[in-house]
Amino acid sequence: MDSNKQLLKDAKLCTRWAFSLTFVFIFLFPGIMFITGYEYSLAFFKGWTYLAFIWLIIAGLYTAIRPWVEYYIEKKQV
Amino acid sequence: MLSSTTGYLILLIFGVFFTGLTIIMQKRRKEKMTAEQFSTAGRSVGIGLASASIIAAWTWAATLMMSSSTGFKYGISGPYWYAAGACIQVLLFAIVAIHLKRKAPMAHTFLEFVGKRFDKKNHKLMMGFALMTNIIVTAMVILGGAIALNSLTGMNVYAAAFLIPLTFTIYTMIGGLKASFIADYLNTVMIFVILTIFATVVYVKFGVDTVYEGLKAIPEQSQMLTMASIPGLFFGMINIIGNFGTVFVDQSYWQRAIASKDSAASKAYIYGGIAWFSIPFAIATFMGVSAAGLGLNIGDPDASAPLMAQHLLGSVGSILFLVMLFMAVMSTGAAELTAITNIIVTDIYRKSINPKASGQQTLKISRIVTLSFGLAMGLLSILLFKAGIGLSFVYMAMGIFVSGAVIPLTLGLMWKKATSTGNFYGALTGMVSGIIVWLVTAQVRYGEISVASLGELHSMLFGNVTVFVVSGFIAIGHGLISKQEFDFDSLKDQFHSFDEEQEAETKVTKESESKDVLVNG
Repeated sequence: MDSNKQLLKDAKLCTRWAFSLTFVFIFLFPGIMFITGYEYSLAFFKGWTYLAFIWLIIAGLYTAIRPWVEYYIEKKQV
Repeated sequence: MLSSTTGYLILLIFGVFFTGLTIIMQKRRKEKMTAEQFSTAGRSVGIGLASASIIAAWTWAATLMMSSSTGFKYGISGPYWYAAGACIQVLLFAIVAIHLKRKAPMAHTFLEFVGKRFDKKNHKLMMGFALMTNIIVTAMVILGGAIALNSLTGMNVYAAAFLIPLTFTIYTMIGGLKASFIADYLNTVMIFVILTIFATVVYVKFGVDTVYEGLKAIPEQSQMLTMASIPGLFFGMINIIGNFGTVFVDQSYWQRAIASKDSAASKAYIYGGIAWFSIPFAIATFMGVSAAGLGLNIGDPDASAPLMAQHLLGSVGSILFLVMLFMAVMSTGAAELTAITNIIVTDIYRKSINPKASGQQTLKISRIVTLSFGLAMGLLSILLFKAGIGLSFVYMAMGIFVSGAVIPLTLGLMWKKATSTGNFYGALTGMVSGIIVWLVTAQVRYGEISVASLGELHSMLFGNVTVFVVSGFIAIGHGLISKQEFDFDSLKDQFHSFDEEQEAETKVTKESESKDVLVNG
């Protein structure tokens, strides 16, 4: 019963996240950029590449480290 | 240009390394490998490993090559649309994944669920869709890798297409899904590392300013520096719609939910989706867009990424790119292979051929299926190549063939009123009418039905949209009219572990284990 409750909670949370991220990625951001027809200035283009770079680094670190953290936490509990 | 020996060496080194790693890990494990372990990795995978594996399964060779091509062609909107348009399916998949986890906690494949939720007809149709998806994706991935190896090292295409599946088949056969998870993790991390190297070199060696000036100098109508690019938007729409099929109908994504702990199942997709976004976004921005900005002389935009890698770091760049590409190929290949094996063992062998098979027998069959399919996939890829079916064409057209199942499947999990009849005819009619619209658009707009006109943006877009509209309309419509209600609770006890007899013996240990899971979860 406990795990079922947990799953229900997770389901609600991840539904909210999935829909809001989808909205931002597909409608909100490109929508604004499309309607305004903004042409990137040098500063904005720089920021854009920094965004791509930083996102890559954070995603990479997260992916590389998290499994090890989980592994050690699990080992401690056993 | 590298020598063909480099190509063979890379295949050999990675094949031997991962096989060796799997054997060592098997030896160190205390428990014995069982059929259930083989196909579900013990249902105990945490968020970190699961999300790394989702990233690996969704990072195709095409993700690296085609995204750069869109950056080169459409400018900055290309990378964005590639990344955003293919990441939301993984995010949204989190929702259906958790419903499967809740309604059928012991299922092995999503088809097993379909078989109990709907009638036999649906099970067979969905299995057709699923196997088609897995086989096409595997063939595409192997071929993509083979073509890249061939163009970068001059290695024989047929030899490459046959050797690539060999590298991941052997370790998958030994270690099952868990081995594929470990390999996925290492591959994903390597891909991130190599991409970071490339991005850094672009900054250090050329600087963003040079790239920007170069992009500015490209003639006005090419819209390189704005998101308001019409071809970019069109590509984005096709990418969004077309990719639903390749995620929702592909057992390898369901498998990652099935293998996860209850508490990890949904979150892994959200984290995985967000992290995956950065891969095509970064590679296409730093390799594709930059190549255009630096004015690299590139004949075929599809080759922009490897050429840029060479431009950046010479033959070291080429080797790094090749390694990255090969790792993407290997982990997607292994994921697809375990998916095919699970479908054949769960939904054909255990369902129709030998329902009373013992755990031992099931494990043996699983291994045989993995090995024979791994070897057969090499041959199949060669056949597809010989038949002259192009990669980007298949990539774009795939949505039309498999997406018919997306809405019916999702409804089956989430909506108690979905009916067998509505779903069956929804999926089937959706696919058929999508193909008709696709052909008709090509004929009417471009005057002929040919690979070129079918590959045009309009034909693809109309075909894809039709599939969704028709399948959704029929499946929802019939559900509303017939007013049946399905009791999801009745499913709970219908799924069984592959290791029933063994589990009866070791029930005591199992119980203590499940207590652990509760504490951990």
